Amino acid sequence: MSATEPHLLASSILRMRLGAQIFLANHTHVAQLLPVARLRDMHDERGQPMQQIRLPDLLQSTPAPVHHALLVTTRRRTVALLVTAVDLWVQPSDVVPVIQPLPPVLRRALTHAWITGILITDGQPLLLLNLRQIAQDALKQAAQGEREQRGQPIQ
Amino acid sequence: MFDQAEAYLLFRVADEQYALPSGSVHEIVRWQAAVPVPGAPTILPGILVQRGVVYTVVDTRLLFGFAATAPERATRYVLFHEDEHRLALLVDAVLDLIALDLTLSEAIPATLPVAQARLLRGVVRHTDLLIALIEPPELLAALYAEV
Repeated sequence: MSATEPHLLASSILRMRLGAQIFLANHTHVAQLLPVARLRDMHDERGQPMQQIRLPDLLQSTPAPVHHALLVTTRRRTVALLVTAVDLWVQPSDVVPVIQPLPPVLRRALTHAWITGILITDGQPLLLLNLRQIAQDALKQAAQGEREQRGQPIQ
Repeated sequence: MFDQAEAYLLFRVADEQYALPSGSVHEIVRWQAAVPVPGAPTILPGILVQRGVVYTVVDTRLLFGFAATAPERATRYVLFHEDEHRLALLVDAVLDLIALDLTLSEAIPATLPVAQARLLRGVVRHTDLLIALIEPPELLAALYAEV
């Protein structure tokens, strides 16, 4: 998804909490939603324990508890993105589905393409996350970390 | 009240007085917590929405080379438009709307730190104050140089 992607339908927006802050995501990026406790015995396509990424640690400066897992499938693997809670699946009548692009200065300042737009609801801006991009970058980062530990060159 | 070309919004950042052309200023709003944007630099502490428009908050203390401080009662956002940019300049206080005679403006003092001098078109004396005149395009250029 990009800032130039046509407007999302409100019914395809997932609303989630990371600590006290609310974020949005495109629910087509999410293969499955489940409680964190159920990840314990889950494995990915390679038969390895499911990679878990705590989104509050990745996106915020203050720690927050995580209770729900969003399974996101990238080209290579499935990753569990952990969030404090998924509040609701926004219904079309709740919100005007106009996703605004990020302001140009923010687009330039952000090092990752993890936020693709802003939706204003009740006068407050909610950030739309690109969960697939976050999952891909988290996997890449984890792979680099493993290579560094093994002493292999980073590509 | 004023000729638009001469009207300036006077505000304070740290102990210094600055003036912005009033034509670039859309509104002054009281401080409120901005919505933080993950991964943004500290000079851009978040975004806020005013009348349906998204503004990027700019910490002018950091942009002007001062240390950041916590907001106080007088802290305000100056909602600023320049081209397609919509910025909420976080300032320590908004002081006045004044008419300035730019023919009396002086060159930027050589002693002024580069972080401030790069934003300015000059300085002007008004009553007993020395006011730094901000050039909006230069403000944007300085911001882009920081992010």
